[in-house]
Amino acid sequence: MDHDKIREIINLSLYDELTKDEKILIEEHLSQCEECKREFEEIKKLNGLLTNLKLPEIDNKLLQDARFELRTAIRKERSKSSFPENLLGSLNQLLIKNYKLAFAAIIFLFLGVGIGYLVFTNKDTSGVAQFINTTNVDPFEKNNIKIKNLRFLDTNIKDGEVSFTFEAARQVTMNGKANDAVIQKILAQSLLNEQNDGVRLRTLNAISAQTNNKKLPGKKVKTALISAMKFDGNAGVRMEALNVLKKFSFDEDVIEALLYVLKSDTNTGLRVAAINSLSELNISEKEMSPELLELLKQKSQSDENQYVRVRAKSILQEVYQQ
Amino acid sequence: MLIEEHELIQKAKQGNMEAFEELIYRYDKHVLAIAYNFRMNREDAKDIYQEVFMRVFRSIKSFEEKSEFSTWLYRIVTNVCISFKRSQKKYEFVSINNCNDEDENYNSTENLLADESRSDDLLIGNEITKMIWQAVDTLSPQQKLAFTYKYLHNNKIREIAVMMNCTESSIKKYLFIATRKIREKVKNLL
Repeated sequence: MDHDKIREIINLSLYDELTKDEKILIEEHLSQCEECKREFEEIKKLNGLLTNLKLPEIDNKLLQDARFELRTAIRKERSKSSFPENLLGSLNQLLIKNYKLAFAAIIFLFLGVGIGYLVFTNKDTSGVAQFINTTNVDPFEKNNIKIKNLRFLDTNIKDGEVSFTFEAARQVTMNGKANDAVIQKILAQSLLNEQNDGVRLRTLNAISAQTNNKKLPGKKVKTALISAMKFDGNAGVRMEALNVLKKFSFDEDVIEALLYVLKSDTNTGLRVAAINSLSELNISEKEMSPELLELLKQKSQSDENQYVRVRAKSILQEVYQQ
Repeated sequence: MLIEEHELIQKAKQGNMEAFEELIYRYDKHVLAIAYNFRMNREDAKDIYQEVFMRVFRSIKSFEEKSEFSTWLYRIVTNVCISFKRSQKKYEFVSINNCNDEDENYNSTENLLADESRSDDLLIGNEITKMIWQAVDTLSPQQKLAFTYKYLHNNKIREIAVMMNCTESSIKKYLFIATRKIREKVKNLL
C-alpha cells in the first residue's frame, strides 16, 4: 500500500473511525515504517490541538438581533400568504397527489365547516344559525370563539370520519396595572409580533400612557421597546418607540440602542431624534464611551444630513469644554 | 417540562408560531455559531441564520420526520453556508449533492478580502492556535464545514456525510485535506 493512502488512514485512526482491517493494516505498517511512524506522531500532536478548538462564543446581542430579524421576516412572509392562499395551496397538493375522491369529500366537508365559520362570526344570519345548532358546536358559539386557519390532517376519509385542526381564538378583555407581569408580557409580545402597524403603535401608546414615573418598565417591555426602536419595519413605530424610551432615565442598554439608531437607521428623522436624545444626556468626555466618541466624530464629518453633522459637532464641542 | 421535539414539530407544522420558535431556539445559537465561524462576520452570520430558519419555516410542513430534526436542519445549514455569496448576499443554486471533489486546491480569495478577520478575543491565545485558524480560513466551504462538524461539533464521519449529503469517502477526503493544509501551516511549531 502506498504511503499517501497510509497517511489518509492515519488521520482516520485519530478519529477512532477505522475498520478492523484498517486497524491491523496500520499497526503492521507503522511497526515497519519509521517515516510513517514519525508522520503518525506528528498528526497525533496536531489532532490534540485541533480537538481543543471551540466554536466562537456568540454574544447575546447578536443572537437577539438575529432572532428579531428572523421574526420580522417571518411576519412579512406570513402576511403575504393569506388564509385563502394557504387553502388553495393545500387543495392543489391534494390534486397533485391524485386523491380526487377524497378531495371531493373534503370540499363538501370544508364547505360545511366554512358555512359554520361564517355563522360563528355573524350571529344575525338566523337561517344558517339553525344549521349550526344541529352540528353540536354550541360551546364555540356560546363562548364567542372564532375559528380560523382550518387545516385537514388526513387526506383519506374512512367511515365518514374527518380529522382537522383549527385555531380557536377568543377575545379576552383584560384590565390591570402597568407593572403587572402578565400585562407587560402581552404588551411586549404585541409590540414584537403584531402584524398590523397601527396596533403596534397603539401598544406603544398604551405603554407610554401607563407610566408617569421615570422608572423603566419591566425587562420584557424594555427589550421590546429597544427592539422596536432598532428593527421595526415601520419608521413611525421606530420613532414612537424612541419617544417612549425617552420618557425614562436612560441606562446602558438604551444608550447603546440609540447609538445603533444613529449609526444605522436610514431614516433621517430617527437619526436626528437619536442624536438629540444623546445630547440631552450631558455626558462629559470622561464618561463618554469610546464608541460614542468615535461615532460622533464620524457623524460630524460624514452624515448625509446637515443637521446631524452640526449636532454631532456641537455635542463634541460641549464635551471638550466640560 | 421540556416538550417532546416531535410534539413541537407537529404543532409547528400546523402553524403554531410559539412551538416553531421553541423548536428552533433549541438549535439556533449553535447554528449562529457555525455561521459565524464559517464567515467570521456578524452580518453574514445573521444573513445565514435568517436564510436557514426561513427555509425551515417554509418547508417544515413537508418535513416527514424520516430523519432527526437536527440532521435535517444541519443539511439546510450546509446548503446555505455553501451557497452563500458574501458580495451579493444571495444564495446560489447548489446541487443537492454538496460534494465537490475539485476543491482540493481551493484558494479562498474571498476570505482574504473579508473585512473582518478572527478577532484576538476569539483566538485561544497562543500563536499556534492563531495559525490553525488562519489555515482553517483558507479551506474550501466543503472542507471548512466538514472540519467544523468534526472538530467543533464532534460529529462522526457517518453523521457528517448525512448532514452534508456526501459519501463518507468524500468527507474523509475533506478532513484529510483540511488537516494536511493545517499541518503545513503549523509544521514548524509542532
